[in-house]
Amino acid sequence: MAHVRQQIRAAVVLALQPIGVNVYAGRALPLSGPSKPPALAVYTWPDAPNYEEAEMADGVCVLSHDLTVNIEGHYEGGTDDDLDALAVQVEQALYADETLGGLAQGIRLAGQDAARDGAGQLIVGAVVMSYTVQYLAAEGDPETAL
Amino acid sequence: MEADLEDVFLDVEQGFAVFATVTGGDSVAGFFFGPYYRADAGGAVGVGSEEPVFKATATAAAHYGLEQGAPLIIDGTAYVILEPEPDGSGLTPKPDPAGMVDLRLQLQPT
Repeated sequence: MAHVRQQIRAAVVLALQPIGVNVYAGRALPLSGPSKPPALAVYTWPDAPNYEEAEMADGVCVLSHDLTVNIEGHYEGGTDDDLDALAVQVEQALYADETLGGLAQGIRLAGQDAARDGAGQLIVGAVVMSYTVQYLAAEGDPETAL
Repeated sequence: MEADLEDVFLDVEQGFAVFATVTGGDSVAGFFFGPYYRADAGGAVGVGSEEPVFKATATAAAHYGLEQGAPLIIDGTAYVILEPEPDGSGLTPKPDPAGMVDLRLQLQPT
């Protein structure tokens, strides 16, 4: 087993695979060589437990978590239209199963931002798509999604 | 000594220079290099790229209209000039007291 957050990260990567570009989880290295854009990178921080909505079940505190899932779409040599096309594909892929295989209660859009760098040999663009994934887990048992 | 340096650096046959083809088909000698550049368009991860530069004499750049947006072909690859900037190195070929200019290039789609 693994932390629910890790399971969600893996489920998001799996959901994005059909888009047909490289998808990375938590990547820190620059996208270069075989990992060149177009590519997607998935990050799952921060993870905020919501104690105000905690519930007791069989003597166990069940917490609702708001997990921020940032999905970065990187494009080289493209335009804002290419970034938007990537954003469409990502949103459609995520919302094909809002539970991410039963791990999550739902997904909310949390905002998107984009920027470009035109100083290199090709214009590089990135769109950062933020989602909030809500999941339930019992206090002291972070590996089991409820 | 200055003449020797000029021969070495800007001679395409004997030295380090290459020809760039400019609008109209003329050839301009200069140095071509492309250092690593990490593009940062936001997000947590950058993109490995290059920053191609063609270094020519300022006189040649002015003569051939090598300004922002002008096309260049180097070794069969098409570029457009992103930004010309004086290199400020003080390395000036003897016949060109105007100095050298770095022409920052962007690849053109094939």
